[in-house]
Amino acid sequence: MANLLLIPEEFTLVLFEASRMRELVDEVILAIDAPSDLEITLEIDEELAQPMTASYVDVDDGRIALWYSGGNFEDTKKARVLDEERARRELGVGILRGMDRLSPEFAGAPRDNELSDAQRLLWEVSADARCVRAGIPTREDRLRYVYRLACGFSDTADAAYEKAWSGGFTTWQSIADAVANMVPTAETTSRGIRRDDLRKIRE
Amino acid sequence: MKRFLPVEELARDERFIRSNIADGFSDPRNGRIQQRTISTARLQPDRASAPDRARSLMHGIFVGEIQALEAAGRTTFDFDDTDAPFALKLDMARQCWDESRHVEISVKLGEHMGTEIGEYTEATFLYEAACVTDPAMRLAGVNRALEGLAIDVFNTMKDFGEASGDPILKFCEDWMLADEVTHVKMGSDWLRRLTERDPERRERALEFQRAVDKLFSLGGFRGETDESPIQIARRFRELAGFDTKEIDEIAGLAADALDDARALLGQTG
Amino acid sequence: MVDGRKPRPAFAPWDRRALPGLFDVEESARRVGAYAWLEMRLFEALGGWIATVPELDVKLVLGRHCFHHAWHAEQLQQRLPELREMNPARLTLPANDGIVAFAEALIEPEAAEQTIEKLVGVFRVLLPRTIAAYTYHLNGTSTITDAPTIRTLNFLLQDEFEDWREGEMLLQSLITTPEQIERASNRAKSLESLIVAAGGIAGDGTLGQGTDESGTKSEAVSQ
Repeated sequence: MANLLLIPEEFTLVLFEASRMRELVDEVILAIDAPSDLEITLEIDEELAQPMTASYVDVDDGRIALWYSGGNFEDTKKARVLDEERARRELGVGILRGMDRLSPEFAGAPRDNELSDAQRLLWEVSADARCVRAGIPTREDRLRYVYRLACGFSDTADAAYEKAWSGGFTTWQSIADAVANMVPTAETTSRGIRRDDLRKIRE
Repeated sequence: MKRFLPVEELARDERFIRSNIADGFSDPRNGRIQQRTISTARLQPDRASAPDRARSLMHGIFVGEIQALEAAGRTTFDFDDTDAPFALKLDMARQCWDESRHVEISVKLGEHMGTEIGEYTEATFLYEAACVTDPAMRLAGVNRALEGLAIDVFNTMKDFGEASGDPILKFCEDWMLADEVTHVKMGSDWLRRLTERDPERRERALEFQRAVDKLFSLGGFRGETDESPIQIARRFRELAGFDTKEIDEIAGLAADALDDARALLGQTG
Repeated sequence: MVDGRKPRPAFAPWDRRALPGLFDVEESARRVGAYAWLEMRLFEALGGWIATVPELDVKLVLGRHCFHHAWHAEQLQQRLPELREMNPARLTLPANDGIVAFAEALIEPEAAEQTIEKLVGVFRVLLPRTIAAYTYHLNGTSTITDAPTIRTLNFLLQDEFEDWREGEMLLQSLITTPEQIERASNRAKSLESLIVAAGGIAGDGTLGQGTDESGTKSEAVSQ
């Protein structure tokens, strides 16, 4: 079982069970073949509802620090209810990216709030593909759209997506280089660092 | 087949799940979120939640188009020739075809954006506005208020498509916008013709339109400030025949709706 | 260089159009008015049904076809003033009481579970009849004097054929069990009885054969 610090300890605004959330983390760790003694802080902001979704994955003092909007785990058909399939995918991508950050290959990666949209999404696609290979289902059509919003609707961006999906990016530098080599579109260059509107309001 | 089909009898397959506004107001998160300052509510691609918000809105457009199709269809059937002349019904039949295409476009766009039919719940208050039994009121509520709202929504989505560099979204929304401008014009034209000799009836219809406009501003859902995800599309509304005074009035109703929601959340939160 | 002053016949050798036709002005107008009346009842029914069918693809097809038939009614009504009826509404009439009964029965299904009944009425009974009647009209009327009606009917027939095919394909995809086969055939049978009793969409003589008082078919035609 993971060394998990869950924030909040119990949910009061949404109908998520803290015990079930802990079980889901363990299920995901087992599925992706992560070390069972992984140290994880999982913070879920239950005030934020669908579709106000956002997430951050960082490493603080050797612990994987995951922050999510409650909306990331919420059933889109039933307000405040946990969507387990969605939760597994979110946790899988988050933990895999956290494990990347713990590895030397990603040592130079900036914190999530300093990543560009394109860097973040290319990394997520890579993690999503690993989730799928580990048996955690994802919505690939959804992912591709989010990716295109960040990286542009272009052949170059699509080629990078395919490479990420097939496991072509295994280091932070390879992701950074791929984004740097993408043909920039007017839309992607006009954007700066990803806005962390939802998270910063807590600070 | 009877005339005037109540909203409860709208036929749907098993993918569709109904929601209602009351559920939203009873959500304890609403009061909390109102106390937090989230910069802009506008739909902008550089916000983390933009993809999910855009998908959710697209699904809302999809179910809204189904109800608009059903509403226009009912107007071809619910009234006899004295209440609704053939030329009016012909316009409504044309609108059926347009709305039918809009549903098709919305399904395809939903797939393009990574959502699917039934992923979100369906609120049926658009069709409810079409259940009034006076054709003049129905046209004011549906063709002027709701199709006017559609202009605002499609323009917002078109802007989102442009800002995110999504050529498919921008292309499709622009086409749908063209149709909606036509539908609003139809509504304005028929409202004038049906109430030509009855100013009181016209006033009742316009009052109904104002009520629908306020309802669909939904606590700031539509407006002209950063707190509104859907922005009032003044230029396209002018093309559709709204004058500046009318657009200002809608903006005022939207501001009132936002104030009402704040007051309500202040009481419950 | 072509000599434009050299006389040529008014009709090219391949132009086989002729003056004789089965209908005089009044009969052509009566038929066009009867078609318009039925197209109106049809588009109203299709519009009303949109909200009552749960199948999304059917809903969308009804929305499209609703406009087709409304447009047909408009095209037919536009022809009436050219046929000496300055008030199109005056001739936009059912051919007889039997057609009224047929239209009422056609429109009657409402429940969400009755999509088959709704579609059978339109696509297996009415549209085949409409196609037959319009075809008879354009084959029988004077190809020179009534050419505008022929042109209108040809436009309409293009829609009717395509809509019929689309509706039939929807039905074939919906009818998959013996119980549904039974429902479809019962529905077709009951509506067929009504339209046969009415003599067709334009009444007796819709396809050139009238029914005499003894109920036997005769070869009486309008002209």
